[in-house]
Amino acid sequence: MSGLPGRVDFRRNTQCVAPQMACAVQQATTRFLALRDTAVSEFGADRWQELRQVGHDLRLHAIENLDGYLELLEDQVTRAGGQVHWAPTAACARQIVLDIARRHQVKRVVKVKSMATEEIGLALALESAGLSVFETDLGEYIVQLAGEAPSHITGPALHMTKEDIAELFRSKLGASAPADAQLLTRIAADRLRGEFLAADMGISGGNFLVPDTGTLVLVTNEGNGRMCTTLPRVFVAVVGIDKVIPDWESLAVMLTLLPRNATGQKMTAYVSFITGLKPVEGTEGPAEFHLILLDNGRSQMLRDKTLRETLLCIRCGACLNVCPVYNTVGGHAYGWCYSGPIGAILSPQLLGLHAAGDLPFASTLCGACNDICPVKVPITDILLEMRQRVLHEPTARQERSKSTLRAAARVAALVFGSPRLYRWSAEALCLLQAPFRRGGWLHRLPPPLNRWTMARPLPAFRTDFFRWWRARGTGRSQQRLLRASLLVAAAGLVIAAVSSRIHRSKRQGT
Amino acid sequence: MSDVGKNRDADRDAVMLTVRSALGKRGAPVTPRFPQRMPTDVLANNQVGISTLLLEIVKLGGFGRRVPDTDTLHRLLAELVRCEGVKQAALWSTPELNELSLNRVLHELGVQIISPGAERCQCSTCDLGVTGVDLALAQTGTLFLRTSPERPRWISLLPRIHLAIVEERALRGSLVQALAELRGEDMVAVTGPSRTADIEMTLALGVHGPSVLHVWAIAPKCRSSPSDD
Repeated sequence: MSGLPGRVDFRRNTQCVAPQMACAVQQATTRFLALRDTAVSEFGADRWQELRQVGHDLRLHAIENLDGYLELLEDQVTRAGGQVHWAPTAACARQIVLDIARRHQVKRVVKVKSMATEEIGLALALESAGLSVFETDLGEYIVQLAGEAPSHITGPALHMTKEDIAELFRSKLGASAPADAQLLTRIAADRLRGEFLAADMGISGGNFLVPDTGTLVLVTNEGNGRMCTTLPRVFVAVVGIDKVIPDWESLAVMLTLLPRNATGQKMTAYVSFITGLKPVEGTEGPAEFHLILLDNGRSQMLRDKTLRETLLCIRCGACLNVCPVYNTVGGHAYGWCYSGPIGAILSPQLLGLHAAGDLPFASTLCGACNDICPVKVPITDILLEMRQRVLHEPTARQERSKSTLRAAARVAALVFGSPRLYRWSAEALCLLQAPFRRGGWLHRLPPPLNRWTMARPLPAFRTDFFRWWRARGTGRSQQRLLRASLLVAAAGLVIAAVSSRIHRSKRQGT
Repeated sequence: MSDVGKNRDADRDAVMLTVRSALGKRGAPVTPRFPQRMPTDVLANNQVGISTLLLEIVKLGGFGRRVPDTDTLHRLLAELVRCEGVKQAALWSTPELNELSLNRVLHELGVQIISPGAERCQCSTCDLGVTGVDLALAQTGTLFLRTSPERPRWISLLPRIHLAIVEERALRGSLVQALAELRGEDMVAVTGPSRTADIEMTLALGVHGPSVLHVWAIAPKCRSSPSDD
């Protein structure tokens, strides 16, 4: 669904989040987390920690020796009867798929949910080339019908209620059914069975690539991954080059970590091990298996030792579930297919800081994502590193805000430097606030101060200010001094907060 | 990048070159090896048997049964056909499964047997798919099914009921062990019926795959004394 976004404006995106979004998202993520906790405690918390460390080590080893593993993978997949393609960019990957489709005169395509294909906007590209594309994962099918983007890595439609979905099916499929998950699932499955039987081409992503045997591992629950490798004539897998793991022993570790951490399952309903995918007999099985190895900026991410650990991610989606920011704003605010903490570090690296420089700031740095990550991606370290890079990236906007800040500091120094000027301005502020004041608060202020009041109200300046000011001479000199310094400090804090707010909003804002 | 996708080798070299320069690698690429041993003890738990497997299957929403002898097997199959209204069935044609003469029982019950190489549409309307199990993992309730000409993929996928016949000797103590034995096979691991929770996190069984999974653990006796009647 999602194509490449222009610039991700996280702040603006959060302002159009529907109120029911947070509620639906929190319901789902709470359930995901409860299931995960049960699965992990059943496995044994200590054993789990040990396994996470192994998971981290083996993923890092694979990433650091990517060149050797990729060569081996290509050899083995080719030997097993598959065809390997290399896609340096998203455009290349789309073109390769289109070429394969053209060669086989493909008209109908069935697609399994995959982050890689979302990343390259494959469905859109195929549709604009005149092909019919059907998402076959139930959640993806629903968001495709609704014309929306997925909002979670493992649960694309978790932001929608069953009533929304029943209404959607009524309007788009003409199927009227009560808002019942089982019935709605049945309707979608019956529709999609027909599409599977009629499809010429199946497209999936991949969870792991095992180079020593050239095996693609596909983890699904619904069975659509298996359908794609069983029914259509051609099967295409678009997989990031980072999905490589060292060997089959490592695969056992990853298959222990992934389902438990993602959905709290000991194992997903289906795990397909695709080695070459030779047609089995008569009509069964695709005649051709194409593996497209997608780079699209991943190899550049290898350059930095801290940042390359982003590539360890196995897309379990658990960091989304624990993230307080994700739980409040949902997935769409992140502006692209990758949301939550992983989106905050992955999107800026894949899209560039100019496009997604907002995202590393969309975090409270609470570190819950670090603790839940099955392969110990140091997300907060990477977030901090990304923030530094955003700040050091010279942009015209930043230059402008620097000069604004300098001017504001000068004015503040002038006002605080002269008692008379200070008193006058304090009095002026009390008068100026009158039109905006509601009770003890200023709820709305004119631009640019509205950047502050958009998020929260500002306390009004003291009502008894004049009285306090006049009475200031009656106290003892020490008390007077203390009071005065307190006031100066408070005013300084307010001005500093407002100006830093202006500075940040100017840098990130419109 | 103008003739994208046309020049496969150029694309390959471009990716490999960036990867190698980013990693600071020089010289010819060597095949790496992950030096660390897996904590096999962390992943292993050998103290489980067939009852754990059946229990896990039931927890996952499937049905598990122990089958002591051939007569019980045939009786249970007849029951299943009656209860579920099975009209068409397909079976793996492995020697192990043929030995159990399920084909004959189904035929006697008036069930139409679909050949593994049948047309897609015919496969799609099939009610029952009977498969063996190559290896099983009790702790997770996972069944490993290889793919081969006698074991088509669709039999455990397209019919609405999947019946898997498992034997105690197929059980393995850990995932590491099972995967070590099946290394490089074209196969699928099945853990319970097809499922989804994409609508409001409510579990729904049977999306694209079978909604009903029966796992019958047959005793070795079923093999040694095939029914003669």
